[in-house]
Amino acid sequence: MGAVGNMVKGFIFAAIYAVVTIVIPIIMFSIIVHLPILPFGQLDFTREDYENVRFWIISIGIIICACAFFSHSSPKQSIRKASFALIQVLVNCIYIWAYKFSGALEWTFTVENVAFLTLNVSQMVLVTLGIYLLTIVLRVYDLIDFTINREKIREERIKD
Amino acid sequence: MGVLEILAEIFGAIYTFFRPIVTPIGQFMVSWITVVYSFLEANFYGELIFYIIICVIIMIAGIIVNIVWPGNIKGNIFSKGKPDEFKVKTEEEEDIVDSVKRCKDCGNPIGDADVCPLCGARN
Repeated sequence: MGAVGNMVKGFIFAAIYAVVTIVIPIIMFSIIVHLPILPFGQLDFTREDYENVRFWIISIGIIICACAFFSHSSPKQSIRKASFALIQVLVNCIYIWAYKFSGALEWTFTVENVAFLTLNVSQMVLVTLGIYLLTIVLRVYDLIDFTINREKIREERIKD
Repeated sequence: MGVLEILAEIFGAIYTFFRPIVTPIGQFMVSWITVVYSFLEANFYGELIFYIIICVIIMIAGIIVNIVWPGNIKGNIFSKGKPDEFKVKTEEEEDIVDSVKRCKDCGNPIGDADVCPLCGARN
């Protein structure tokens, strides 16, 4: 794939990441903040929380998009692809932690006059971050692998 | 038993099994992320332009790098001094090199000659 093909691929992935990390969460939070009462429970979610989480989602989301563009527009098994894939995972971790400031990690479900249930998903975020660390290890391994076998990978790529 | 209940039990079992391993790792991750966040919050909170500039820099760098080094062919700028970097040996080239007759003693190419011009040995 030539330079133009690489860049088109990069832009497509950047657009996908923009939708997934910025557009959909912002729409969801906008809907939640504008609903007076949620049909399925309550969130400790104030207007200030909304502004806060919206800022972090947009600011970190655009950096994720840029990293996705760089990573996916690079040739496969290249050092630059591995480097930016690693950076992207690190930024993803920060992005996930941004949800902590939203109040979306604690839900209260209320069944009128019967009971209420509080669901705390902070532990789930910890598990997700634990899995992300394993992803970071894999990315570091890829980076080392691509660096060591650089010449061989390059020759094979050019033959293809 | 509903399907949701079965799924909840499966995920619960997986989560309980991995919790002692994964949760401490998660806490380690939280420690460094908190440091990064506190830094960003103290210095760049509310300054969206800072993040936009970083994004633009990365994207422009990506475009330039892709134009210069597309990956499948030799880069068209900055690589004039390295003409053989991407040269792949073909079978023909290997055959030509192998077919040249060499001196048995010194390895010097001698062509069709019987006597090596370098060491004088008969071949």
